[in-house]
Amino acid sequence: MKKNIIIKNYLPPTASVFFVLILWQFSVIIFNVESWFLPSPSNILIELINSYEILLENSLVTLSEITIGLIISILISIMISGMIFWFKSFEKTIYPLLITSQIIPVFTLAPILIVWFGTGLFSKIIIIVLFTFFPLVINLVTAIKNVDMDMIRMFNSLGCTKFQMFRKLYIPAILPNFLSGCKVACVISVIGAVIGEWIGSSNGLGWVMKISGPQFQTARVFASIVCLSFIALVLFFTVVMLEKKLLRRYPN
Amino acid sequence: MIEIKNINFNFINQKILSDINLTVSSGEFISIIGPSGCGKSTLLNIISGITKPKTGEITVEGKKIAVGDKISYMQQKDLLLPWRNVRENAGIGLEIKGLPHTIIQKKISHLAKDFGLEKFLNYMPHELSGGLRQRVAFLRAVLIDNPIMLLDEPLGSLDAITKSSLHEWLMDVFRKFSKTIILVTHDIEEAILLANRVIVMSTNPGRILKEYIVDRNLVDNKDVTSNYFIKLKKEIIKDLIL
Ligand SMILES: Nc1ncnc2c1ncn2[C@@H]1O[C@H](COP(=O)(O)OP(=O)(O)OP(=O)(O)O)[C@@H](O)[C@H]1O
Ligand SMILES: [Mg+2]
Repeated sequence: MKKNIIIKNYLPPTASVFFVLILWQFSVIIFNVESWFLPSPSNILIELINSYEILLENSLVTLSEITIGLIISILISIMISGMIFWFKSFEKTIYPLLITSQIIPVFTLAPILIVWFGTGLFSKIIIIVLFTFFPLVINLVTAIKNVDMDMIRMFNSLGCTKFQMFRKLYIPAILPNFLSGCKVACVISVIGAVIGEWIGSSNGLGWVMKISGPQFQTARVFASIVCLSFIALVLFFTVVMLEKKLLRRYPN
Repeated sequence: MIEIKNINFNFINQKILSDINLTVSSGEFISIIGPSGCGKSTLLNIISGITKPKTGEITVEGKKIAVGDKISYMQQKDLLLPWRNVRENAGIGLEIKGLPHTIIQKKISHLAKDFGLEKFLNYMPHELSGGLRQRVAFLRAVLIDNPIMLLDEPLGSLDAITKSSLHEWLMDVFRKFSKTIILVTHDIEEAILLANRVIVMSTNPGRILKEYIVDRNLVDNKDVTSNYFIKLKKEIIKDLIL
């Protein structure tokens, strides 16, 4: 029975991916498309194997930028939402700032950040933080505001301290939203990393793509995209696993 | 002794409660009955301290008390935390008071049978029926073991048999531990069966319309057919229809 469910859940998506790949492979062969223009999936696979060293090395650079950036972003968002919980007026202070920070397209700031913080790890981390903390904070702030007023009253009527209220009501109540914010942030962080590396860097997958394109090493660009997608998938599913574990007892 | 003095309460510009005055002696069991929307829950919110009245004050033994001190409040909604099982929901009040886990568990196991919950202690709230959820909320309030208990329709959606056994049990607790209880109910029979005083409220704005003293010597816990009982019931029905 369990096997059936696995087949039912995973068969259709796997099949559709394979279908697209096979279609792609045969179209490239039938229409005789040159590999510098559009490499076939098999070409990309060969490229992945042949240049696995350079790809792995730069994947690790990108992955470390993303990991550090995400951790900082999560910490900042937790701090901001904690402040909003403890000081009601803090929300009014921070909200306009949060919104303004999102009106400015972050990638236009990237060149300035490179000027200020150099082409190393630090500028990438800042760009990733700028990209990812907004969905995290917004999710948390919304969740905090949505905590059931009657539940808050109930906790008050039990004579609880503010800290107990935070620990026993707020944290479990906002956990689902926090984790969905994390999922969004994981995906966005990859975009942030690539933009940062593209604009000023001497390593990372974004940089590999940037230098490979003009040299018509199109297969390598695609191989980098495969690596990036893999990173995004791994991050995303890490959060999904975490959700499965932490939200095990929640309804739905 | 709880003194409820000159309570007025507005919601936006609408007058919800008007000039509520009520004195409840220690060890009294008071029922409050009244039409839907007359402000019974609002009044209990104010007595418990979680809602501030527009005017007036609540004192216990002559002193204002902090929220959660001396008063247990079972609200109309069950307000069970969806991420906690029955056991953990029932124990939350004691957990907040800082009691050790093992003692909380002992108390829960001890009372679970009376509440008909012993089979459900490891269930999650969304796996329970409305009546069972209410019993968990009731247990949560009872476990806190404060001298004063505010109960907002605690037995509203229970079947007659469970209801009647919880009535007996509640009277037992009430006598044994000399609690002071204010019970809001829609059920006139329940109001008379349990209380030594029935407060009838009227609506728009909510105020105290009448007050009946119930002679406990003339009311048997289960007998709803005595002349005294029927006469009282008729009078209250007349008030509520008017
Ligand atoms: N937060 C609120 N939003 C809207 N209306 C409110 C609110 N609080 C109180 N009211 C109004 O106050 C009045 C009294 O409400 P309350 O819940 O105290 O009545 P009740 O006597 O407990 O009714 P019921 O028997 O249905 O539980 C109602 O008319 C209601 O419309
Ligand atoms: Mg009510």
